[in-house]
Amino acid sequence: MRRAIFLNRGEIWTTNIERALSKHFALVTHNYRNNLIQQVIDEIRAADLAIVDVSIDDQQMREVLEVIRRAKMQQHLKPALLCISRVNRGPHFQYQIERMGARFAYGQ
Amino acid sequence: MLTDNNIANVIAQAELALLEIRELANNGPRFRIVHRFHRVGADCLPGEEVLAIFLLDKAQEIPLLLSLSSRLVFNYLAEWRWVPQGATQIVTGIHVSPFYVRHGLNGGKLRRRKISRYCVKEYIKRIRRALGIALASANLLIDPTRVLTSESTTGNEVLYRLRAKVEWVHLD
Repeated sequence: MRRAIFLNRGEIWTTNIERALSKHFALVTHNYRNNLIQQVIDEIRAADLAIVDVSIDDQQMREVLEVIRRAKMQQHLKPALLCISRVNRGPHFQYQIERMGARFAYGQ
Repeated sequence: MLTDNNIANVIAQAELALLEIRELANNGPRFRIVHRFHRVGADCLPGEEVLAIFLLDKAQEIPLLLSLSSRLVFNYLAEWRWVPQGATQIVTGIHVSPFYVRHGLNGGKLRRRKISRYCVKEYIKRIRRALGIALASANLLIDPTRVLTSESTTGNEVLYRLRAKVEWVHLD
């Protein structure tokens, strides 16, 4: 089964998405607000897909995206990246995300 | 509040993201080669000119900044992308093919380049450099040596091969 890692902020709205994703992927979830990102690099590298909650644009979120970008560079495109947001971030932000080679979807 | 539609969209985007990298990893990136001075009737006839080469990514067209000689080598490698070829084979192919012998003649001026087998290695380096720039600006994190590969033989010859999807566009 395809492996996915869901990096979120531990908010309630992500639980429904987590449940849906776990039907399609072997899913592991981490809360990146706990500064765990450096500890889950191996899991990111092992995943086929990384899903990141980008609802709040802060330093932690940018660090997560940078770690995934580096993993993609080292491993010839793997993992695929999907960013999700519960709030409207506007076309500029969405464009920036897609320019990183990621896909973007709104949670609401 | 999340609706079923939102969740379905997230799943669909996840599948799309996976499909995209699988396609890129298996087939390589997509390129568009533009030939001009096209005459009605058939495509890629002698007399046309290799005007430009673009890397295609989503809705973007990113030009490969290549000189004429490098564009000719790229065009040749794209034509023969299913067969890895050595420097001598590339040079022979370019010298024999009427497309390269009469390159650009439909525009009123022959734009032919003499390519020697000793230069092929340098052209490959330049193409890879241009590929690197274009791939980086498309944020496609692919090593150019995986797109334009060097394959060792049992002897000491190196075979070059373009691992990409290529389409040709013709302008009059």
